[in-house]
Amino acid sequence: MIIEIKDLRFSYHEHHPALEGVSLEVERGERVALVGPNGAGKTTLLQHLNGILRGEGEIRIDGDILSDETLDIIRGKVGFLFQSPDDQLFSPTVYHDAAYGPVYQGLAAEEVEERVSDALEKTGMEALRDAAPYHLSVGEKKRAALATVLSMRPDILALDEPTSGLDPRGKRELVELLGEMPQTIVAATHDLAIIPKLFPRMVIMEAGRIVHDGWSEDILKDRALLARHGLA
Amino acid sequence: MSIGQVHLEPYIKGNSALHGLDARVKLAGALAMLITISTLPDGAWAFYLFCLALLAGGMLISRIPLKVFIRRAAVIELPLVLVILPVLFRGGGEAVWSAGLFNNEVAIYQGGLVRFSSLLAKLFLSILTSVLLSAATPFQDLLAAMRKLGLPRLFSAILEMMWRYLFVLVREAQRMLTARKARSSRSGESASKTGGTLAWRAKVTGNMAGTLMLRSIDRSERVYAAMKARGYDGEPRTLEMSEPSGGQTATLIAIAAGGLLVILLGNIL
Amino acid sequence: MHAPVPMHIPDGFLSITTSVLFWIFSAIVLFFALRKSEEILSDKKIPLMGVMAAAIFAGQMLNFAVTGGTSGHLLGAALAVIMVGTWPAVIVMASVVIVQALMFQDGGLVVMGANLFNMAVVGVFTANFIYSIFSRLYKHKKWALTAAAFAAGWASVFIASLSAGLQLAVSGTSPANIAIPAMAGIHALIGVGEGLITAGAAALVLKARPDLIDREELSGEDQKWVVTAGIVLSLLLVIISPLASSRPDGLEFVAERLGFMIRAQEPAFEIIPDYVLPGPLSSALATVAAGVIGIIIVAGLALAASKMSSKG
Repeated sequence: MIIEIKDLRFSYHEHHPALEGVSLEVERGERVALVGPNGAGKTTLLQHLNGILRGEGEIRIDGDILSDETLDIIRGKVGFLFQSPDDQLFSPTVYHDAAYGPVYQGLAAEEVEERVSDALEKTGMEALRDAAPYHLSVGEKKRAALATVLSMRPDILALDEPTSGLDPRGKRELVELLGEMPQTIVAATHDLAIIPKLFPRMVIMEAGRIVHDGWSEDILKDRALLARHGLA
Repeated sequence: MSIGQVHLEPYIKGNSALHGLDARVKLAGALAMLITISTLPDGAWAFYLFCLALLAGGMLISRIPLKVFIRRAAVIELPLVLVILPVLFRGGGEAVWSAGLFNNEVAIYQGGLVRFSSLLAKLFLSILTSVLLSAATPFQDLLAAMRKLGLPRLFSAILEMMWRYLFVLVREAQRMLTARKARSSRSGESASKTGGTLAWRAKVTGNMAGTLMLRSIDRSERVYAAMKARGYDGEPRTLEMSEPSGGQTATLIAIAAGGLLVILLGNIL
Repeated sequence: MHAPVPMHIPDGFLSITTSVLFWIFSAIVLFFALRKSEEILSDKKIPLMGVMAAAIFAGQMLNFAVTGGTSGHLLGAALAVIMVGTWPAVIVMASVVIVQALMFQDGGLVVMGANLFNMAVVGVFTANFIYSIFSRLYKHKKWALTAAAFAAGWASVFIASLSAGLQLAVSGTSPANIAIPAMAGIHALIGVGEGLITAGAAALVLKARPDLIDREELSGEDQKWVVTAGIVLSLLLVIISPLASSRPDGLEFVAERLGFMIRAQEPAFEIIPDYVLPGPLSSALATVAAGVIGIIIVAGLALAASKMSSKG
């Protein structure tokens, strides 16, 4: 069990409860899609995985309980891809952005170089290693953002709407890329089309709760179920 | 760490009598109060209390919760405290406390104590005034009031545009900070220098600032293009305020007169 | 709200005379800067300065961990100069100061003239002259621009803090030998952070949009006078500060030293006759007035010269 969430509750402020008792278990290597209408709490839940948000309840990542002491270790284990790649690209070159994670961890220069090159290669961004993120296309930015996260060698990838803003080719490329990733993946997505290829398991959220958790294959065939939860 | 849900807007909606007061009256009243507070002599405690009472009255009328004032009034910078600390050790009167320090006699004098506490009291009153003004008056109205008091139309238009994009850009900065935090981790292996060097961290922050600036330049170009498409010709145009009612003008005059009175009395006594 | 560089003087910390003087001077510079910005930017002026003011404000929230729980922040005067040029930067920084004071209680309203002077005038002019000189000296080599940005960032914060310290001393809020060294010392350190952040920002902009940094405005004729004014201003502050810091009554001391200069020009200063102001105040005031009037003269010359050169 690489992710264990027990009865997670969170409110942004007094009258805005976002998560009302969420429990979830994810095995190492699993790929889970979080779906649901806007406001269901998908992004909120994802952001608890690496401690961006801190709610009530217990969260265990790879055996460690998420707390003030384990926060920085867990951040290294969960690679978070933000919905807008612009949020996480802030360096002069793609290389520098990808290097941030390993450099922060205090790794030696050679180690940093190795990890960054590896990450750039895996995302097909080697050719653009010295490019300014400013000039990249949306698809390239998405891949660069992924590289910034892969360079930390995380065990888990938390993806927030990974295909949003991508054209069909960009989507295809990203889906192929993700398909090759060995990590455990939890992704929040509106895009049901990418689920069959990538995510055998689907978790449906609504109003801060998990309302269904099962095999994607079954759920996607169940039109009534999908309609009931605002997914079709 | 939040994902940008920080409540940035200082204005707190309401329909109290204070909210309904014309912005010009409120701005002038606030300025009168601030000038009064600034010109009151040290140790004029009765007058400080009087000002506090006036402010408390305003706060009550506004029906804005007390915690708002507490939260926003708790500001003072450390260097500035350091700068006024020596005031304690000078000034006339008897020594209230003294000690030997490195062969020197160090003492806090009564005069210095009075001056120091007066400074802090005036500081607190001033901040409270400012909080009340900004909590009870929307920014747009304050701008309009400033225009009437002489602020050039161009400057006002610039401030308005700044306000429009303030929250957007602040959230953008916050998201960048959050994303950076998400990549700031400790490796499970040999934890040598986590966090890199200070210079590197500052450089990264600079990169973020540069990114924000670049995106903002682009954004301003887009805004400009959109404005041009709507027939913008470079001239600032604004909606004009209605004239304040008779009652409001009277309030304004009363405030100004009251302020003058307090200043005079405070300085005489 | 947020805690940018701790240079914002709150209400009650400056004397009314100081506040009024600096309000007048800042208003003059701002009015002038507004007109110049209009000339330079034409109809882009509102979107550019408005959005960039918001950007600088937001930029001040970007921080980096220093030690313990403290963090370094950005003031942004130098960054503003690099991104939009001197005169628009004055307006941009002024907008930031105004909004911070009015809406977020960072800095007072009565003393805003002084804060505007420190951050929107001194900060901007200092950053500009250092950046211009540095970058021109090394003919726009990449590393030189980054180094110039660092120097401009550091100097803008440090010299602005001298101005703040002087204002506090002149007001009698704090003795000159505490106020000035305290502000100067703290901001000499903070300035390093500002320099590094500004350099980091310049490096990124240089990489992504070198065209933005290498503006012709930086090499225009007009610049000569703006740069000169910046140098004069900084020199005044840098010279008066250590002199005044030597003793608690430092400014009176300096005023006395300069007294011969003032007495020689007595007729000009009869405009503020002695009997209007209480005795001890007038010599300190005279120093400040001398400096301010000197700056106004220089600025006036710069104005006149630029008008002549642009018409020619």
